[in-house]
Amino acid sequence: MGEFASLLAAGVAQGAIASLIALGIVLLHKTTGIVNFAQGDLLTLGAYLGVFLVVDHHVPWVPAYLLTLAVAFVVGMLIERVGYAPLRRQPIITVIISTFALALGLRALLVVWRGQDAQSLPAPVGAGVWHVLGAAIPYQNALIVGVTAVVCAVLVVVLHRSTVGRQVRALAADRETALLQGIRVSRLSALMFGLSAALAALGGLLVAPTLSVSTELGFGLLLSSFAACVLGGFDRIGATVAAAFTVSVAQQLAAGYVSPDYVEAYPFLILLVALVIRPRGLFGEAIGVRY
Amino acid sequence: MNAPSTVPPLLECRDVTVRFGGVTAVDGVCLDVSVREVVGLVGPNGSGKSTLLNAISGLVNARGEVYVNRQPMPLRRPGEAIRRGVFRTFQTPQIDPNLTCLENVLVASTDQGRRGASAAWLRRRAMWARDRARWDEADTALRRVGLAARANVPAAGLAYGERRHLEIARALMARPSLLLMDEPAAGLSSTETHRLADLLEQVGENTGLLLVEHKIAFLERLCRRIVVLQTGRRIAAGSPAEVWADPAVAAAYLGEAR
Amino acid sequence: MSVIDQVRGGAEHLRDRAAAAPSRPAVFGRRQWETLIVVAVLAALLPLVTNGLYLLGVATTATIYAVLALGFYFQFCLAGQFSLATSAFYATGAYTSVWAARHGGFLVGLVAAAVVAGLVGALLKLALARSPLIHFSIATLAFGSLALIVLRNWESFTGGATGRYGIRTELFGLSITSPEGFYLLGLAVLVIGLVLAVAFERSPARRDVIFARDMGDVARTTGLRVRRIQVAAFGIGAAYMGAAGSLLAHTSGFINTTSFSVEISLDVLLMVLLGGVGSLWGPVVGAVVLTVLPEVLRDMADYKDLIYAGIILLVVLARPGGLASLVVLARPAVVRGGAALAQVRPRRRAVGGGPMRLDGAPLDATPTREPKP
Repeated sequence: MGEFASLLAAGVAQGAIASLIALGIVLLHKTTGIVNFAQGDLLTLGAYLGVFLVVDHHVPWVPAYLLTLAVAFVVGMLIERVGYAPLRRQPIITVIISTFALALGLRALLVVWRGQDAQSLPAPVGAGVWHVLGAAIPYQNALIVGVTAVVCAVLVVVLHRSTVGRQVRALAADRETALLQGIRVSRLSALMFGLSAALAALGGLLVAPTLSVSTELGFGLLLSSFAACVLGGFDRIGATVAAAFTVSVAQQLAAGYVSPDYVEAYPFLILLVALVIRPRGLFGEAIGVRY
Repeated sequence: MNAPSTVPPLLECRDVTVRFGGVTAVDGVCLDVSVREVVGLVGPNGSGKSTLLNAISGLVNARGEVYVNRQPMPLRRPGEAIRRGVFRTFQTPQIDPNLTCLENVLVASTDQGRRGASAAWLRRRAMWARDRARWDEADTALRRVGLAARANVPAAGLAYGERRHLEIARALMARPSLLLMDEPAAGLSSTETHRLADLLEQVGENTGLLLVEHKIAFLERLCRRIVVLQTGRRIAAGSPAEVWADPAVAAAYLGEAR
Repeated sequence: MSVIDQVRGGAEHLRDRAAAAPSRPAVFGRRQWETLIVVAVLAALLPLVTNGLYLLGVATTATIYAVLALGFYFQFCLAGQFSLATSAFYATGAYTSVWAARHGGFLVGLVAAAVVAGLVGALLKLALARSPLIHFSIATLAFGSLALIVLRNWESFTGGATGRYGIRTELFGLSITSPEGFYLLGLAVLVIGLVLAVAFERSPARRDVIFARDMGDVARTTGLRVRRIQVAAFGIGAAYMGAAGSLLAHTSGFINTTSFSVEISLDVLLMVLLGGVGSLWGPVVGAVVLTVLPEVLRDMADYKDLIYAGIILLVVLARPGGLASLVVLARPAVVRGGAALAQVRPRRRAVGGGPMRLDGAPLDATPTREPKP
């Protein structure tokens, strides 16, 4: 029971991180039709910025985290300007390639900046654990889940109550009509890029204390998020979040009970099997190219 | 429906329905085309004409029954129609700018043999023999539409009217028994339209034609029968004279021209 | 009958019909066979010019990457599939070759590598045939990583983390151990790969696969068997990658899990983008450049990835046709559009598309020479 509970807890925490990334991917896709392959490295960026501010410069963790999110937001908008806006008329394959180039570039920049060695970020809530159901659950995991829940709730409220949120939903639903209604599409696109980058960076900050921070950090989590996005359908936020949790929990349980050697492989396997069974994702949503 | 014909039906559509989300684009349409018959399909914008053609050629999800030569044809599969000799052209000419005119026509060749990688590597002599026959046929098709001189020119360089003709040349290459054409005269000058009508008259001698068009003179010259759609439903059918005289048809168009 | 004989046989037939024949498909304007012969002969002379261990090693690596890039050409440029599973086919080919070569020498290893990798690739594409482009790309990313993990854990086949070492290269009873030998072996495999590629380009298969790539469902309505075409093209590309893996294993003498990483997919993409997507020479040029570049950039090794990323972005943003569109390399008689990247602008001269004359004059469409198949 203890092992099950701790695996479950690990899965839930990982699921929360994956859903943060997946949220960013889905929000971006709904509004711009683009899938951002650099999302994983934005997570890594967040983690590295956290280390830089908190460990190297002893900035207290609340302002450090907020600053990290702000920087990530700006980076996201820059990516939009450099990597996507000029490619609006190009076929989607060009955009995919551009995304990959940006991901690679971001990773390389991080290596140049901080080197190849692994770094670590201490947990803001300390290293203590709770003992629940025979499992030792770190406080950080609880923080991860808590913050994710709050962020999701805030997002939902903003999307449904604010002007900007309404514009985003209009844009997501029908681009042509949104244009006709005078919605500033390019500004919103930049906003969504910034937002999804900030979400990824938040994920990086939250997950960093539980793992060692390396340049590959984001990439591994990215695949789990992609699995969640594909399973949930690229357009449904709720389904994607649910899928993120499911995939992560399944991964942890499989690693614990079936074979730990293949722990990184399970999300890939799930993704491949899901796509073979339902080539367009579980909900049959075709990916539309909408700029 | 219309005057009984002793010629066997080539195409029979029964209750074809296409829905996109909440919108019903085609609603229970029944339509027949006989061998070597030219049928016009008209209607105001948004009446579902192109969607019906898409449904028959398997490009959209559709329900209902479609028979070609009395055999039922499964819907939703783009390759099924051509296998039964039904070829479709599109409102926007579908040509590949990365290929030459001749190649754009050659891809529709009905000869499926010796054109894959294994033939390219192991059976080149046979491959060339077969391809030469295809070149002859493609050249004939291009000549019929007046593009023989542009055979080796990249299709990207063609003017709009020429692209239309290229698509028709491809249609000829496919040797269909039924040709579905979506506004083939759109954007053509009156001279070009006349030439097209000449060509289609010739084509119609051997092939069934289902023409979606707006140009009335064009339709009257070619079509023996016209079917009228409005908001996805069939509202009238008959000879051109009968159809233009039908008050329901007039109302549909007048209602459209606000 | 050898390929060259069949080619000649076809050429004679064509000459017979030259007078009566109508317009010929434009492929015949290009002098692809001639270019191949010239390139092969020149490249084969390299060991006469130098016997430096280092230089020959770099040259051998260039041939391996060129084969890899040719495989990506089939998958990306011809079939239009953006695959990130290069590592899977590369590694599978390498380990398969080592295992098979024990029983029959290098040739058996090479063929086994190509066949197995090709089948794996074809099966992957077949299983995901109905997936849209992005889903498929994601799936290949997953598959590339998954394959490496599986191979790493499959100790009996791959030797696990230690890998395989002391790999012998035996061809027709001879044991190849010298740098010159390895280079010529790599070159030979590359030339075979190029012969097959040129033969493919000079065939109906080329127009079928390009039309299927560009026109999607519309291609299906013209009677093309799109799924079959794309699975075949993808599988052929994977087979090339497997062959490259075989070369890697036998010319370096050892392989283990660190020899393969998911990054190779990006390297290959860069080779193709850099060299040009419009013709099969592009990937070869790109592979050579990209093999030489790290040596030249040795001092800036830390910045290598950054530079690569920058180059990809530059190419994608500025010139989708890559280097081959700037260099009059193959002098074709017809301007070739730059694969899937140029298809959005049909009315203008194909953007970044095929080679242009340096003097800016439009290329004449009619072949002026007697065509050779």
